[in-house]
Amino acid sequence: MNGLTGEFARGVVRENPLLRLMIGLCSALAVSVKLESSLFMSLAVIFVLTMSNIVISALRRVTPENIRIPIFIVVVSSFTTIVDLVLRAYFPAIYSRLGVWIPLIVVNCIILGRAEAYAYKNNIIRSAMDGLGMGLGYTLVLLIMGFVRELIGTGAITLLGATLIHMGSRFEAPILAISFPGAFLAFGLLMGLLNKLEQRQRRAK
Amino acid sequence: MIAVKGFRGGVHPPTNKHLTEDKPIRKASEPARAIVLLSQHTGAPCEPLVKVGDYVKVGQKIGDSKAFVSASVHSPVSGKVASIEPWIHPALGKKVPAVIIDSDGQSTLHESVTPKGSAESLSQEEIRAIIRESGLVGLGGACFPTAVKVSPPKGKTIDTFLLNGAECEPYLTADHRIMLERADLVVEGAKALMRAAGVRKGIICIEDNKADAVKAVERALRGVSGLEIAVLPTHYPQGAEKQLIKAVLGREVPPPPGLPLDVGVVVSNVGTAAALATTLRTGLPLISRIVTVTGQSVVEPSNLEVKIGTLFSSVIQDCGGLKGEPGKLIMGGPMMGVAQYTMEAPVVKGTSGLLVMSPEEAREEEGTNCIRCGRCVEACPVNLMPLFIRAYTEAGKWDMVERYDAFDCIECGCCAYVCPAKIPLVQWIRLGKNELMSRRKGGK
Amino acid sequence: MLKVTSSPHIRAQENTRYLMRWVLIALAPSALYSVYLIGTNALSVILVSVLSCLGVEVIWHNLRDGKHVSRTWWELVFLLAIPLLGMVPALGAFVQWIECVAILVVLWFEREHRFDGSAAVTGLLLAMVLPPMIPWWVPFFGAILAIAIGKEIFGGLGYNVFNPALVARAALLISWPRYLTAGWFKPVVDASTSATPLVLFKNRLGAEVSAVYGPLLFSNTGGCIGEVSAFLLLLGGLVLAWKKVIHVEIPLAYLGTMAVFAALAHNDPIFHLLAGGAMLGAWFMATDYVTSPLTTKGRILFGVGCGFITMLLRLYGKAPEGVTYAILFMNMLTPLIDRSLRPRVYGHIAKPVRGGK
Repeated sequence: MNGLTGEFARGVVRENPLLRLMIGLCSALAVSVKLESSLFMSLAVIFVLTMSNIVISALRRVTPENIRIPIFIVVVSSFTTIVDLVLRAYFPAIYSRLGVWIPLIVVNCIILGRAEAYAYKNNIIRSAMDGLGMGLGYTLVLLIMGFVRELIGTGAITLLGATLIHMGSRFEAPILAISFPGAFLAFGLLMGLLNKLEQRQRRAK
Repeated sequence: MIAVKGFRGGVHPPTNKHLTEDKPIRKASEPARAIVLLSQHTGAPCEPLVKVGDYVKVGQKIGDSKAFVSASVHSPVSGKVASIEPWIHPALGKKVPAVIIDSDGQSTLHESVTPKGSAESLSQEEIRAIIRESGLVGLGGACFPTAVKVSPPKGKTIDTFLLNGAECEPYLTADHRIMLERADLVVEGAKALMRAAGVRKGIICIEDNKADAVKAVERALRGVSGLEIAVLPTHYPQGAEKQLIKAVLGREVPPPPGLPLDVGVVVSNVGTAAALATTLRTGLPLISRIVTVTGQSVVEPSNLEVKIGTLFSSVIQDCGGLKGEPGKLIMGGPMMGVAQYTMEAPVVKGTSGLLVMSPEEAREEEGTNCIRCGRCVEACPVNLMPLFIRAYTEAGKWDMVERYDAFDCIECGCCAYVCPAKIPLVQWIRLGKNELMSRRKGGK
Repeated sequence: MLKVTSSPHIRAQENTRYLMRWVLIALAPSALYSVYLIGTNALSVILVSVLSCLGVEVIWHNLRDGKHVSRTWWELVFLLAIPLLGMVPALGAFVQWIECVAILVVLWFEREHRFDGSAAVTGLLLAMVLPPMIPWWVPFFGAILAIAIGKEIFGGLGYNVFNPALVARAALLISWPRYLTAGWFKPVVDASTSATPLVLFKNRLGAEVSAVYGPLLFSNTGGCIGEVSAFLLLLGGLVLAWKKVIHVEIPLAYLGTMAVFAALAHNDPIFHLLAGGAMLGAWFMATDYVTSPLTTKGRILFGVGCGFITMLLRLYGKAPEGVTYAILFMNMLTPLIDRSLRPRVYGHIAKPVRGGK
């Protein structure tokens, strides 16, 4: 089972889709403005990624090479539609905030990328593990960015209507953190930090 | 007087020529032992013509090569050949074969040393042969064999001869003193060189900080046709061949391996001309040269006529020795000269000066990162972008080093001189060039 | 022992620190005059900004180079904790002075650190582009942004793409717009006007402000700390040009383009040259070595681009002033300009295309 945990762990740090493979960035930068939207976006991505990895892996022997991309998209869009409808039904507020990014999961590079690079070539269990790992890596980065940006940019963290942290009324939040430049800045700093840590680890060996 | 056009870039470092510019040339003491390197010039090294134990006389040829691009070497003293062994070359920094002669103090002249005639009485071929036999090379420092220079390949015509008396290097005054004291020799040599190269028009180029030399040469030029003087504003590196041609004639020599010949010009140093005239008059080959020994650390800075093969330590001793511990010993000027790690290297044909710096002067200032101020780009007389060549060399991007034309660099030192971040740009560029060269040799 | 190095063996006197010192000297009259006119507020902004920049540089360099690491972490915590004193009502008004003293103490501890002077220049320039009545912690965070994000993260001196002071200003402008677009110095003569001439101009009151060259040149106009006197800025710029510290092509092309653009758009060119950050930007910001092109042609292009974008933003943009974004935009193009406008190498017939042969 060591191999399987390896598949799972790989997506979290070593091949983190955002910080390392640098795919699926646009939605990540856009939704990481709030912890809440980061959380739901991550859940949506984990679900779609894992399910479509499983299905594509299962279908890999019957998928003709020439039309595999359209087939991937059909699979992915099915799961995306499920997420879309569930969110719209049960979390309308969050759905309206995430807006176009949920339907756009269909063309998210992470999902199509993993389908093409991994699920199409590996068995179902491994593909599921890969999807979970990659999804978790995505989630981790998104949660960190969402937390930092919301806390700094608004001075508070709210989740499902409840205020978890409040910095006090004297805190004057810099709007930079929740603006688009702030997203790039936060992402770049996070990536730099990861590289720095890894460099230090490598030197320690 | 010729209107000069000037050249782009360059710098104006303090010249410090006051130390020696008023010191007349005097003869250095005879060396007790002469170390004659067999490779003192650009081109093929010489083979020794004598054996250990042979008795040689002053002016006797002791080394020669069959290659076209080469120059023979002669014994500066009379005496026994003590040994033939490798000795430190002051410009290359490594050991090359040398003939070591113990002087008998007699200075007996060799039979071949007889007056050759004058520039007018000799034919073009005769002068070329004399130049080849006398081992004459460019005495400005580059040491390119003069015989090759005045023998252009078929199809190339030369229309202008430039006699280089710019002496733009700070501290050096050897050429200045030669023009002042031996103007007639300079003019005579220039005429001979022009005849050898088949040129009618000659220009003697002198920087305006040597007004007395200009006057002396003007006097010597009275009644001479075909030779003119161009007075140039003091501007480093005006004495570099390519910059001189641009400044005086407005022409640009093609990039390496382009030569001044390609734009119809031959450039020669005033010291070379004077040496040729001496050979014509006395028959003595190139066995001595004028060396400026200077610097704050030298007790008595002087312009010396030194026998080739004399050790630096003995030359400095002739100038009263040193004040305290030396910081740096440089052969040549401070901008392009070569720092020596020992005083036991011999004077070679290209030794235009010996500069001794005090430890204080030799101290290196700690620098910063490159601040992209663009001064190196402005100062580069070849219009390179030294900062990029350095950055790409540091990063090991050799194709980019070549694309930024590192091979066009003349290593004049202007970029490193002006750099406020004190980056040794020339060193980086040299490193880049060397690496590119070795890659070319190894790769293809 | 004979020292052996590569030639050349002599170096010019000027070094990086000398150049930075001259920039500071040239900015000094404007800074001092603004302190004289505005008072302690301007002084506190300038001091906080300059000292914070120096402090950030020391701390960053120590941590980067692994020197005195534990001591440096304590210094960092110490300096970042002081703003919290602002919570204490009795101390609220003095926090900036406490912070300044704290940074000085830290700098004393780090006195063997070799400053190249660039952080001080960045700090002073940052202070010059902030309104004087701004809360003290805005320049404090601005300094952190300028040095850490604007400069050091790219690799330090010489490697940054954008002018650090302007990066900080842009970031502060996004972060706390209400502080950055108000709190102007109130002119002595007309106490009722607190808007800047460019704001008045934007609101189509151009006719009124057009004839105020005097105030624009010699103070008495609303604006940032560095904008009190166009005359002193011009003087400082000319000093730098005379000492050959800056390349005069950039400001001339910058201001020239602005004047031509203004004239063509039927605006008063002189008003545009004197108002707002044009003088400061053209003489001190656009001429930053690191972020401006290396060749004469490139610098002219750079200056023209800056002037053009500035006027475009001033006349047709939403905000009244455009110098910051004009220079930042042209900073971005600098590597491109350097690559495409290379000087023709001696002896080469045609200009090499795109760095190739």
